[in-house]
Amino acid sequence: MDDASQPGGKSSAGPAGQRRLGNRAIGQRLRQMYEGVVEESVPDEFLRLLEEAEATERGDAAETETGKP
Amino acid sequence: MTAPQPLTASEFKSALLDVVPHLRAFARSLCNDAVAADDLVQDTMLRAWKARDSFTPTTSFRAWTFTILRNVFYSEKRRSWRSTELSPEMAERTLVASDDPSKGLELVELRNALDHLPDDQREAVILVGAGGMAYEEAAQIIGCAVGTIKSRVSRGRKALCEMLDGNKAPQPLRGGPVISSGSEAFNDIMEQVSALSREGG
Repeated sequence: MDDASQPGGKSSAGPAGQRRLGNRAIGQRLRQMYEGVVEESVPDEFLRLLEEAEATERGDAAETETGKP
Repeated sequence: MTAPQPLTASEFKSALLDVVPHLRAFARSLCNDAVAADDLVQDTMLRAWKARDSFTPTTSFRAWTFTILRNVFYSEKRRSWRSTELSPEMAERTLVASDDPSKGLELVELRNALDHLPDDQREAVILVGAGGMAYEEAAQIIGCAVGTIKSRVSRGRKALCEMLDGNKAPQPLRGGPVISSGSEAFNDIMEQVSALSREGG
């Protein structure tokens, strides 16, 4: 909690006094970069990928139920 | 056996899907190429799925999956993705993703600056500074001491500050690129920026 990663403060992000970037401004940009991606919607293919993996496993399990590979 | 009950397959699946946005953010910070990043995430998901029996619910799920992603990234040839400068497509994506054009440009500058950090500082800064992780969690993912993470984050931040300040030279932001090295890629990006602003109006 001792860093500047909280997006609360909007101190040095103004267009005028931006020559010197403090830790807080860097922290805010870093958070923006990351959160911007987190907020993107996740394409369906990510869900499909897992469902396929699960289905494949089920199929395998059904076939090899009596013995381990 | 009194070990904590492992997650069921469906619990695991939903935990994994919940963490996907974070995996994508972490991967994209590492790769600088959105397509390669998503590829890395999908690989990570499959590995995590296969290894789900080794996950113990006492550890953070995000930390566990990030560890896998990091291992995949540094093993194989994934590392070479990083050696390329910020791809124009990625720069554009970063710019467009922001509703404020000047913010978008700031982020492109940031990605460019991250490129110039040593690997160990970059990943520490990404995990703690961007991902908001506790030092302890980042240390767990990277597999080093908490003190090491702290010092990497601190040095990395300092280096970023210096780069983004244009080696402390008091240049106005709008006057020209603040990034002094890697300027070829940066110029490409600047061209894209003006093209985008022409289109966007």
